[in-house]
Amino acid sequence: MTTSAVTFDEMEREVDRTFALALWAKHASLFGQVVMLLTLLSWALRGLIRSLSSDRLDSLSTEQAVELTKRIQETHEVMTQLSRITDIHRLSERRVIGPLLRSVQDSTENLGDIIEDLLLSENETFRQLVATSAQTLSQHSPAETIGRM
Amino acid sequence: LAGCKVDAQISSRFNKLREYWKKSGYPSIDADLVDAFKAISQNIEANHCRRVPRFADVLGNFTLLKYRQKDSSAREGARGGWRIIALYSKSEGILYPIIVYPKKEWDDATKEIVEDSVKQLISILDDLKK
Repeated sequence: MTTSAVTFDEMEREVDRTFALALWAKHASLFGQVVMLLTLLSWALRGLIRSLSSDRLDSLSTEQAVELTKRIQETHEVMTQLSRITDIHRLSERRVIGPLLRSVQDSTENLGDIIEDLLLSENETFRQLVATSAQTLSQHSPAETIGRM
Repeated sequence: LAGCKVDAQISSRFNKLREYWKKSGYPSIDADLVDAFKAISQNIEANHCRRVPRFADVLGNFTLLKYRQKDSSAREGARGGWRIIALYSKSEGILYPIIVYPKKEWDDATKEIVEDSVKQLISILDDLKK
């Protein structure tokens, strides 16, 4: 197996684990169960985000990146639904589960940004926009610009 | 912590987008960007910096970085806010912001929304050229 295949498999496993926990947490009803699942989900999400580092995503083939994006989107959708439910019930203001929920919401936002980056990398119009900006800037003299904000 | 210089003037695209958002219900954009660039100039890894992957073949000597900044006029707090995409020249130590957008306009991270949002960006830039 190639390095990118190993990386892809590891990422897929992290996505699967997080997806299962997210579904479970979404349907949990007993308080103790909710706390335990949110703890596990928070931990799994942080692991998933670590596994989706830019260096690792660079090593994937286009097909792998497209497939992985779809899988992460499924997880992100469940996470977004979970966040909406907790927002409606103002659960993130509760003492015990509030910090856990905020951690899960922060990770959900991070995951959304990773998906957005992957989708942008596949978008030819956006690639062209970035490429022309890089070309234009590489022709300009840095000495003229220092300190401008 | 490594700082950098931030040159937000050189990219006409960035400044056109900034003007567009200011006129489109985001009055705090200038102040928000000043805050962001102050933090980033002190530490290039500030504001949830993340390298945008899978662009190496079109960047030459640049690195593509993405930052977050709170929209101080919005109610959603730390979530949402601005996204700033910038090219970083490590050899010059200069960061060039090229795109800025409010995250809530690109919400939900679906392929269709991102495609529509890129079309909107291009349309804004084309309209402002006229």
